[in-house]
Amino acid sequence: MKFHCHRIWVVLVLVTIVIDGCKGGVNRLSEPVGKFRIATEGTIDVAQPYITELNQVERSLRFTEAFADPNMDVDGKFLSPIFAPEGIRARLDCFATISLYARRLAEVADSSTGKKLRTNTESLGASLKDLGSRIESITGDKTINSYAGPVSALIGFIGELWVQNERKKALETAIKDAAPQVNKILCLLESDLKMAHQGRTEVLLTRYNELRLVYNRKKATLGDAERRERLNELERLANQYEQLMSFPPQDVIIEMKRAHEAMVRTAEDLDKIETFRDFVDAVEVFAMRVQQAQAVFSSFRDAY
Amino acid sequence: MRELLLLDQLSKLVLEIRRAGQTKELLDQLSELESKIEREGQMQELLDQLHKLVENLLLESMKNDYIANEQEDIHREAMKIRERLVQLRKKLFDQNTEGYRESTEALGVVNNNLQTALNRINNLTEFFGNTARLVAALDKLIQAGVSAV
Repeated sequence: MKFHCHRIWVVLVLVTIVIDGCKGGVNRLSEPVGKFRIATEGTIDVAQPYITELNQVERSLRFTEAFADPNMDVDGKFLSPIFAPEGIRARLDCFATISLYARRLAEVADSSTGKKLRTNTESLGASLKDLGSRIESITGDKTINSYAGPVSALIGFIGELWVQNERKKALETAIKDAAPQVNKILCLLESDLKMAHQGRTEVLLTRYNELRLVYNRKKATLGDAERRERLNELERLANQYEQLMSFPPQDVIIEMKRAHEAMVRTAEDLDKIETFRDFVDAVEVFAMRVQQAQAVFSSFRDAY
Repeated sequence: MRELLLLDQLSKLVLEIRRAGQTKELLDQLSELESKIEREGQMQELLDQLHKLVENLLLESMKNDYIANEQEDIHREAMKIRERLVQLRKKLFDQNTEGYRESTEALGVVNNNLQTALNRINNLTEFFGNTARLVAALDKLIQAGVSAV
């Protein structure tokens, strides 16, 4: 029996070596993939209004034109959207899917999964030991108790090895399979955001110019209070235009692309430390860029 | 670069034609440029250039070199070009929509696979927790049995 117990402990030592060898690559992904998820959600926060407000931005210009031109009628054109609502919906669905992808990757990469498994197997080991002691006290047979500890530890180690391998396999496969789709989405999004940003800056500039022309035309006939009000509006539009010009939202997508490419390279060989470091650095830059964008865009959510 | 130069020339042309009141000629030339660039598959570049042109015209109209009426005329020229630009944007937007749909569907499959892997991992973790509780309950049952005897 002693011989059997020794064999179990030898197996345990070997399994521990194998686990330590493979879990570093998976577990160290936990933090950068978690950050990638948070930054992805931040990117969607920044990008979403640009898409959902495409029609509102264009509509605001039409109303400004109607204000500037007293002869202009407000007709059905003011109501009908320029950009198809089903196209906007397709983009929102895409945001939800990419957000879910980042969340699930982070859940699989989460290193606390292994800890939870170990806690549960330790708990199983303790319960088996108690049961063994109980049976020993009744029957006098020491066999169960002597095996309970090492066997439950072995189950725990094998379980952990299995979980590590499952996580590794799931991450490698998902990142590889998703890469072409994520790349395509990011390219489309970069193009869309560039277009939406250009549209917004034009509308701001146009509104500023329309109101400026009206102001210059009428300034002599306006009272001080109305003049002040109109100048305030012009000042607000000029400030918003300047802010908008300072931070094109597609810059966030460019950083997300870099972080994603680095993640794909890391997933090709999870044990390669150089690609992992590149991934960590790229995610840091991406996360920082998202924070900057959120700070800028939260200050002018109505900037059109 | 060639297109950029063309648009710079067009930008100047806008001002000249505006003075002569020949908007149609300008729009015809723009159409020619648009179809040429579209044929070469450079839609994004075309949008960038037209955006720059509209912006330049709007900024031009704010200059004091022009009297109020001239400023308004330049503004209106910019708006006419912008109308065309918005139509091109709408076209690009519609073209991109199908790409989003396809990619969303394909990424959905990856998400389902990830969920399956997560379920397997969680099930194993839960299995050990449940077994530990079962063994503890068995131990208590035996203890109760022994006490009763």
